[in-house]
Amino acid sequence: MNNNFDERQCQEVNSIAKKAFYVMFVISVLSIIVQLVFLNAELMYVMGETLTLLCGGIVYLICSIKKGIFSFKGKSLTLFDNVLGSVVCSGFFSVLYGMIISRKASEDISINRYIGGFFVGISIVCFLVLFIMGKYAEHSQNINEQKYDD
Amino acid sequence: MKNLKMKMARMEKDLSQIELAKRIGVTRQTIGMIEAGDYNPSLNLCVSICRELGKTLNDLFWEDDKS
Repeated sequence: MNNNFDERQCQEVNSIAKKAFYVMFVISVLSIIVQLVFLNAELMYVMGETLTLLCGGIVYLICSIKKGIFSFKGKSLTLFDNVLGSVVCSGFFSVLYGMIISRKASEDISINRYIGGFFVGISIVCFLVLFIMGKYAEHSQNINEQKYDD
Repeated sequence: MKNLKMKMARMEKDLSQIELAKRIGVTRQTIGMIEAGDYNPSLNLCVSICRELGKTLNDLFWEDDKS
């Protein structure tokens, strides 16, 4: 990237990069879902998109949390928000998971147990991740407040 | 809101947008957008502009209630 940008150009480039990142992220998610759910693709075939998505998402989250930025609509997430977010997110992915395995499982096997297990497991993981990220962001915020305290 | 004060100060110094931009280290488009009120410069950039035009922040960037 050209480092000779002035401050306005830097701001605009950052804004463009942010939009481009969101577009890439959403397209990757949609691409994975369409391939897995509607085209019956194996997980191996969407490994590239999944890996890219994970790396981008993790870098975004880690950098945000290090700066103490982890909020929704300007407010820190409460315990209830974490639970709600985890359940909603897990519910969505459990439905997709159910659609994927229902096509692959033979008719005499009940998949409800697997979907239930997946839902509970993902909910717990999601809640723990949100909780830990929230705590770490709070910790980073406190460090920054102390660093710039008068 | 257009920044006519800055434009007037630049003209008083007989500087074009390009010349002012070069002296401050920004692009001509940035100067044009500040004068047109389409870009809010950072405090550092405001200070650089004021220094180059021999004005204070109040002279160029303070809006009176009446205006």
